[in-house]
Amino acid sequence: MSKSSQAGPMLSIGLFVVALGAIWVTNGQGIVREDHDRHISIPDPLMVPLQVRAAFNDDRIFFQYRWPADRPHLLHDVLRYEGGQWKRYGNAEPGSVTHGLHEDRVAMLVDDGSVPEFAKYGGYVSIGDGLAELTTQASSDEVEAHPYLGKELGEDVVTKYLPETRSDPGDWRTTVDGERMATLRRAGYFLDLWHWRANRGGPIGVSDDQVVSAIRGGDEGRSAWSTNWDGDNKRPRWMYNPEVTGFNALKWDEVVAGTLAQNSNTFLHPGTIVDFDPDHAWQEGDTLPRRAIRQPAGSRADIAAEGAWADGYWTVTLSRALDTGNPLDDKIFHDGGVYSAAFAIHRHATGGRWHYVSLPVSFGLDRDADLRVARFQGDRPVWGADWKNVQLFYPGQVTWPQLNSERHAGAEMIARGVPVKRYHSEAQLASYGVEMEFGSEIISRWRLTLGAGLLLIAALGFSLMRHARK
Amino acid sequence: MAPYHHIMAHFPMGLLFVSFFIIVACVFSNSDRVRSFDRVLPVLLVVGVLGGVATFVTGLLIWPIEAVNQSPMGRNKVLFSAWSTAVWAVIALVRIRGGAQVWDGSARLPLLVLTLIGALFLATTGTIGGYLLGSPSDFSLGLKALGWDVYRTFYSATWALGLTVVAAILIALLGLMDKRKPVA
Repeated sequence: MSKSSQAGPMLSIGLFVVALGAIWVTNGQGIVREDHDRHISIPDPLMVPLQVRAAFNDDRIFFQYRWPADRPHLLHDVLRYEGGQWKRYGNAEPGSVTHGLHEDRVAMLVDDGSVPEFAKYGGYVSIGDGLAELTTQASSDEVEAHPYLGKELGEDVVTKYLPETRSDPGDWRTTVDGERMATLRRAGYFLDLWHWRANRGGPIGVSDDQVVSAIRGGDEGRSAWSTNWDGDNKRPRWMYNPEVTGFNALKWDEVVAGTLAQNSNTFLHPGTIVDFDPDHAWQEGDTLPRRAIRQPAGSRADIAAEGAWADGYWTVTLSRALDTGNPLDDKIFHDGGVYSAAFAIHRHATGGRWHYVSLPVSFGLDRDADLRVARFQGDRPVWGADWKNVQLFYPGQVTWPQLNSERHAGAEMIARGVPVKRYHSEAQLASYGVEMEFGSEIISRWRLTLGAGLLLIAALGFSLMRHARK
Repeated sequence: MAPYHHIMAHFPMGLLFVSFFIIVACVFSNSDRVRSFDRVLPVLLVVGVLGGVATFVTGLLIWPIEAVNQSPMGRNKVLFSAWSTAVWAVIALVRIRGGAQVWDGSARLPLLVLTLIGALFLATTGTIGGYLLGSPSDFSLGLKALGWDVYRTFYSATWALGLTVVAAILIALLGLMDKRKPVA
């Protein structure tokens, strides 16, 4: 067979390889992007490591967390003096908030087995329909008009909820009646949420103590913060006490640069606060925190905290009584008990759903589990225990109703009680979470890619077959 | 349907990978002993491709189509199964139509390239099947090194798809312009 007679097939196979190479090297390009109109912002990287260890004595349990963060984000939102007026900065937005405003956080959902799905699927069980910041979030007007969520609880967005608190878990509106809700709560059907915030509570050594049931809300009692805003006069209510801090306000440049000192003088709290003085000679760029910290009260004040950022890492320690005396808000711990937890962090000025989460982790008090909680004597643990390494990942927009629908090939596995770890790794879930945010676009492009590849193969087959005529 | 799909999948896998080794051997060796394997190649390829089609169909029946469409791994499985079956069908047709002449001189090169691609697609299809069963393998590390993470849906840039369509048209035109006369 002459060389010239092979020119056609050789050229065909060359074109085939070039086209296939272009398909291969551009895989995954052109769809995933920032799209704030649809509440989409994809973090980079998709996974972050977290270290956890825990200890307990006769009275209290301690958890210590450590995670990397480029810099600390100490203030949640602020009021800046500009043009003779006070303007708010740090409004929630997808991804990292402009100017680096939004506090760092670590959170831990805890269950004692009363929410059976939690030990297998972690926080996914609490991601229902219409949640705030999803592309498909429910409107504020609709939530405010809801007889239970809006009228009775005063909510204006849908937050995490557990499936049994709805007659149809796939519809946030279908809340069960109050009597059923109370029955579920008494049966322990809630998740305890430990929620440390670098601004709202952290500086005075407390963590928010919350609960997830019909909504994600606070335990009974008073929160650790109030809003530093006098709506009638459109100015702050408080400012720094210069006799304590040496200044009336922070400097905007320091706030934005992240160079604020990690001490109590950076924050507004009972030790640094005085009433706002409208007659003070306020300067352009003077900045006050929009949150004033206060001592929490009641069941919401159960968790003590210590936190500091150093050398690229946050280290936060939370502690709480084993038995808080608030069994309707908190999971009560017992020596020898095994429980489940799922962790989350917010870093780099992110809020809302732009966090990193973990799959469920079991922990046992002086018992073998994923995380063994060591017993110690004395008031404070001497941290000798090894860290438990936990892989956190960006969860994207994956809801519990979706996971239990025909749209999820693993729905049958969930129905059979197969844990998420059996079929999915954190890396896989992170990637899937991102793809869910661009589902229809990716499916369309995938179909085109499939079709283009088949066309290319068919064309090559036609060409080679023509040449191979006997 | 899943158990039948898993049973079915082994046949095309086995037959087509045996075909792969025969083709590679025939490309690199002119010995009679090696070429004697070529006699069974058409049968292996035809049965392998038919088995691939049957496996593809049974695979589509495991989950609702909507679930397959929504799953990145499901989408990847469909894409590489389809591409793999198509490539091996082309190999089978070319070998059957071309006869033993496909091993002559440089005529063997297109078949070698196509076979290597077919084997890569087939291995990728099997790897994804492992993931769907909850049994990941290190083969995916090789794919990742080549630029594709199996957890991500395999889709390409629009310009690359446009280039592919143009390439397909040119390849078909080259086939139409092939002046080779049929052997009497």
